[in-house]
Amino acid sequence: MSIEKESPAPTAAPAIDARGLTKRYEDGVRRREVVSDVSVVVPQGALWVLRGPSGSGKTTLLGLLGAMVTPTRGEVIVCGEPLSRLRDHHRTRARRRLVGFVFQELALVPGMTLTENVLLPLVPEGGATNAQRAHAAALLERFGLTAFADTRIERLSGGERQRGAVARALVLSPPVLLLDEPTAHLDAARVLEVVAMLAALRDEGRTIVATTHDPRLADSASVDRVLDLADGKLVEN
Amino acid sequence: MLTNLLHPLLLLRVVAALVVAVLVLVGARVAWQVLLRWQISRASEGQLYLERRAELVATLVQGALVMTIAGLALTVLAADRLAPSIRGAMCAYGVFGSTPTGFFALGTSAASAAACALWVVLHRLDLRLATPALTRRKFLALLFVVPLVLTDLVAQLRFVLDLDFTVVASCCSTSLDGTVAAVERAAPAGARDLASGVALAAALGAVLAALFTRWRPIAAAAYAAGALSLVAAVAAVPAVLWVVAPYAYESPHHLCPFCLLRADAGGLGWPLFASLFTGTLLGVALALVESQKRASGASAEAAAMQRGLARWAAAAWLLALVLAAAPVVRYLVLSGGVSLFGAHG
Amino acid sequence: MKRQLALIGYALGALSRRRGRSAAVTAGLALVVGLFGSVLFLGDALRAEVEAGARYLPDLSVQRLVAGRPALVPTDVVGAVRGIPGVRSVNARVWGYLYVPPISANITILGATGREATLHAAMVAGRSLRAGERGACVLGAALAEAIGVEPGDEVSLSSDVGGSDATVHWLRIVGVFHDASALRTADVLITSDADARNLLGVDAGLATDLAVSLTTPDEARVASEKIALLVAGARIVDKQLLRRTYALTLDGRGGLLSAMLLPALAALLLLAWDRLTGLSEAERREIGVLKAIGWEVSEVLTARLWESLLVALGGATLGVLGAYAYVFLAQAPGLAGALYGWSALYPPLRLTPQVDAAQALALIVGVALPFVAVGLVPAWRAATLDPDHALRGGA
Repeated sequence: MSIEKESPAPTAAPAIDARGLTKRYEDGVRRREVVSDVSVVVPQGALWVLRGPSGSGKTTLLGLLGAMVTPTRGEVIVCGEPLSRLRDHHRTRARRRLVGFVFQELALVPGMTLTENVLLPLVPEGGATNAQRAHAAALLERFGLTAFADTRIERLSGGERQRGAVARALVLSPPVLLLDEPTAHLDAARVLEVVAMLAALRDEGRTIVATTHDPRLADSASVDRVLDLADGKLVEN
Repeated sequence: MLTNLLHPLLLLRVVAALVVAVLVLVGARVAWQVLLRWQISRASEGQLYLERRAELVATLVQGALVMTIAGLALTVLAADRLAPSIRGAMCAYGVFGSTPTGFFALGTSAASAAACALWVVLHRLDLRLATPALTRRKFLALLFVVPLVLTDLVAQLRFVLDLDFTVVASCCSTSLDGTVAAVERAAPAGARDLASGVALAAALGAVLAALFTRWRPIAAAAYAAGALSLVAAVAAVPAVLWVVAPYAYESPHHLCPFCLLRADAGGLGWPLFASLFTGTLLGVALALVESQKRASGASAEAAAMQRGLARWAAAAWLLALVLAAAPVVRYLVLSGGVSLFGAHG
Repeated sequence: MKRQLALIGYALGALSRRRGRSAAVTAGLALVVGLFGSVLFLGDALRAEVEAGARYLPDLSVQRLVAGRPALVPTDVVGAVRGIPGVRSVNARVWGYLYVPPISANITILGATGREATLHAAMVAGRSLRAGERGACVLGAALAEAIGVEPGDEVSLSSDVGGSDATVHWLRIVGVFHDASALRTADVLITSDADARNLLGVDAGLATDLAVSLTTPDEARVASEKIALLVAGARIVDKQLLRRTYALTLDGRGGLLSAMLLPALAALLLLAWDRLTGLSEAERREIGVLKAIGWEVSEVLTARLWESLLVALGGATLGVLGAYAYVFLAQAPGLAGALYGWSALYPPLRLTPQVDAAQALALIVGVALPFVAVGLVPAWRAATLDPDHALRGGA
């Protein structure tokens, strides 16, 4: 097992190997299958997009791929690590190392500064080391956020928050980055910036999967592959 | 008498036992459900649900552990403070001795703290493993902790209610009450030397075995640390009674270990008994982890845990030895090397 | 360790982000701890006062009852009592109360027996009595202040014999006691045995009581039995017994007060349960974020428990400080009467601060730990929230 490894070395194993993923939600008498029997293999260093109308199960599938959502059936292997077979706390720890997540609602903690938010994933590991602090500062600089390092989240603009959320997802240098609707509510210029940023991250060797219903992202030349999702099933294209 | 509960320390002691019982009972109920539904091989939502219930059980038992330790300290403290109120009791010894359940209640206090602590060790070992190989055992083990904490609750209640605070006759005139002298039997020199020798040797052995386990966590070392810790703990009772206490009080006939808790002995008893208890527990924990090594299927993880435990076990036993030796050394230095018990002491 | 410190840091941040609520809960906890702490502190301070007083008591005091009323003890039994094995010394003491009209109060007159040397260290001014010194006295500071005298002055006391035999005695004040413990010396006037006899009207050959000191206090029972055979109508006060009686009375009263405070504790715990169970939207979201970015269940749980524990420790510390100030600086107005009703006889009592590990442990086990325990299940519930649910719920 290589759970504790700093950053898994690139191997022949695909970044994400999902097999027969199914997610069913039950509440009371109602049962709803949000994702049905999805199998997908994402190679390392690829930028893929999951496209589909709202309600098609994109976000749930993204959660399943990142082992954030537990599948009703099927399993997911990230960088050779069979995440869905691990025990809860081992899976969480592995996920922390392997997968960076950027939520549509960004999920930053109000009341904390941007730096505090970026360093939050490091708290359970005993807080940031000097090297990690430097890394976080470098990420903020890369995303043009150095001036806002000590600013509280609620004082930042939408774009600044989004880049902050990406910085947080990258603070532990995960090989896989998952983004949910990264271009929602952005104007055209911003969309281009986001696409350029994702392409640059991909070019550094990261595997990136983003959901979107935004053609500006899906149709971008930088995207390696688009998967279409309808009613929780992959549509061949 | 029910009015005994009006004494703040006694009331708190019973409340602590009650809280422990509730925490462990709730934990055991959840554990039972987990046992009925646990399926090791499947990683499903149901599995996740069970794992989270397991986390709840562990949280409750760890809460109970903190309470049992506080409860143990409270038992001793209450007995110590109540000595002036109990006929003939000069210190905690007299208070425990004044009811049939006194020493039993002290024992159950220590036993439930030890049981909760060992359960937590097992839980921590289980958490380290990649597979839930020990989870069933862990929850089964909890079912054995339940009767222990319930016995402790009953014992504490009996002890508290049995205490007799009545003062015969009016407040100021003598009741001619019987004075129970603490323990006024002097120990035979042979038994004294044997007990202290065994305690010293076993404690030193426990330190060495723990250190060896830290260096190389092999079965023999871990089991030796456990066994020697138990022997040292048993031998420590007469050794403290017959050697440490008399030296601390500089009187060959002062044999009460509980007087060591008092300020005139520098409160030596608190750290001494705490380190003895901790050392014993950690020594036994080493053996416990060893016994689960094979079942865990991950001896490297178990060994890593033993290394951590072994360091603390050795430290606790060393501290206990230093604390126990302190009054003896002090006396010998002051007396120029003359034994408290005469030439053959 | 490093991990725990980081989690504590996070918990502190979380508490300060919800500082209104944290402050309210801390204040509630401080109040309850303060109430319990006051009772404990006061009880222990009084107990210590009694213990300190008992140190000066003889192991046994032999009094005599005639028809159920105190009577004088004939001193001719002293020799016989002294002969009992285990008896180290016997002092026939002359003491009693004398009404002093100018200050409208009773004072305690004590005939010197030569054992007052222990008081020497406690002298505020002047010196102690010399053996057999006539016409002189030493008195307690409170009494000296009430009469308005200092060493060198003389006081006139009218003997208590009554009728035409009453005579006025002039006593020169040679020293004043320190009133570290008002219980012992406040209203005491010590003079020579002969002067005390004159003032109190106690004839030679009689004494108020016999102070018996034993070689080992454990033999009080045996000695008492033998003394009872020697002195007709003897009423023997055992020091150990007296201490026990005081301790029991104080414990009982303290327990009653504590029991009355239990509803306050219950209310606080209920409130805490309610607060902890009902996560606010912001909290739910925050926990969702933590879970989403890879905090384990146990890590979220630990962080939440640290929050509870920090509040508990903060509240307990504030409560203890408050109780300390209330009891020892303000002398426990309102509460004191409930605990020491009988001491109305005595001048105001300055309590000596008594705080020990037992009290701290009692307060932690009694209030702080249950507070944290109540938070265990809500903390677990919060920690096992599904990240996506928590986040979407708040979106």
